[in-house]
Amino acid sequence: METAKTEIIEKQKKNPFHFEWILPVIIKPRKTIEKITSQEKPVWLTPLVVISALIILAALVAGPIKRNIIQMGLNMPESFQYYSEEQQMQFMNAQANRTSPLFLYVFPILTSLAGLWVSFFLLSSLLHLSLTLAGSRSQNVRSYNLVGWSMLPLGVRLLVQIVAMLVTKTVVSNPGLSGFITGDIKGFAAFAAALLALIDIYFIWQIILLLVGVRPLSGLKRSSAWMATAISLVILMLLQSVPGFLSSALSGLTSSTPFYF
Amino acid sequence: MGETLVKALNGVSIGIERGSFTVIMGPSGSGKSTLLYLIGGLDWPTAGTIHVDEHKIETLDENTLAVFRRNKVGFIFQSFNLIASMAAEENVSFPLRFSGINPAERKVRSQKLLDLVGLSDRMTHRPTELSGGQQQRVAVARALINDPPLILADEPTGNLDSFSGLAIMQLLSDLHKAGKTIIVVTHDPRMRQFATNMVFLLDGNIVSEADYKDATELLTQPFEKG
Repeated sequence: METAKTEIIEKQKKNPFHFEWILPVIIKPRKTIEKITSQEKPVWLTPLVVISALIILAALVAGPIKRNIIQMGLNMPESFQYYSEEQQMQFMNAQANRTSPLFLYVFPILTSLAGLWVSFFLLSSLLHLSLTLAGSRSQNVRSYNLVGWSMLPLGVRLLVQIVAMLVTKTVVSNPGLSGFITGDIKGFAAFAAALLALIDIYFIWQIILLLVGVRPLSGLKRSSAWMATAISLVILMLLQSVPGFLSSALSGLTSSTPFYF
Repeated sequence: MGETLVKALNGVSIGIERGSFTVIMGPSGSGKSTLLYLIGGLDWPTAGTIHVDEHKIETLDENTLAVFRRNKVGFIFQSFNLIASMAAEENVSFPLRFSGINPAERKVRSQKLLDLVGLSDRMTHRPTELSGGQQQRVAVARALINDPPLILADEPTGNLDSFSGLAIMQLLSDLHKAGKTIIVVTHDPRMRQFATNMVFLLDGNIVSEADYKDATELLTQPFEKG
């Protein structure tokens, strides 16, 4: 009897997944986030695995739509009518290459997964560093737990995008607030557009979850804890804008985020 | 390194009246196509200004320029520039994709224009299934789809036989009579009969007809040894 009890406890200890927290984080965020931040062991894997699975699913849904858009010529620029026959051929050949599984599935999945995991580790480390500098003595694993679970709204965003893609048969082209910057996207405007592309309701939701959890995690005064969180987020956003900026600067096209952030 | 600056146009100053039919003539390399592309916003001047209605072309950014081209200008090219993978009807309606017009409306408008240019029986044909004259008529229909006040044609009869070329000239003349401003770059002397305004270009400069004739006669004289 005693052995069986120990086995169950061991099993619970070893199980890194906590799918039972997913719904409560959305429905009862304060209570659940406080529970998560009180954990001394790593529990951040579940949201990241869920979001990773959704990234793969989103790419699988977007792939055929993108292929269809390319094959139907729906992504031709307006100036295509002014292209010479030779230029049209070059454009069509370049488009044909983009319909390969490598461009439709492999690259989007890999870049999005890399973006997710890199931003998770970056934000966790930045948050832990800024909290420590502000006077907190909490373990870094607790920052990882908070950041991991605070990213769950980004999974909701993906879910919404998947449903939208299935219904409208189009892909999301101007994410977040990037539509506020129009015209020639060059220099600082390109950087600002990439930055604005990160901001949407799901990102704000993520920030709220972070702010809810950072005080019990750090034991700091609210103002210090929130300031440390804000600094971490600003640094992360600036870093995250770089790929979008480079993409827009190199392609000369409208801003789009190649990474999942 | 090793780059040579070529001035396609040099100090050209020209005013074209609304509702006119202007024919620009000049030998190859005289800058006539460049002038046309500058007026239509397909090219930017390195110096000077270009006014089309209330627009100062050189000050427009890429997006505004796209809207300007969409609403104000219809282009016709020597090599038609039709999209090979699309049927005539789709080619004609292509510019409407960017005007937020629904597919049903696009179809109605393109069919009406193809009917106007005498191709109502060729709507589903791809460019390769059409003759040169028919392709150019599709291109004319495409240029008209947004009902622009200005039509720019770059050697529209250059790739056509004389009969098809004349039919295109007649079509442009009909558009002029309907109130459009037409600017045509051409080598074809038959175009003169439709023109209300002639412009002659030589080496990037506007010249008089007499100077133009002298220069072109010199160019066509046989080379004599000795």
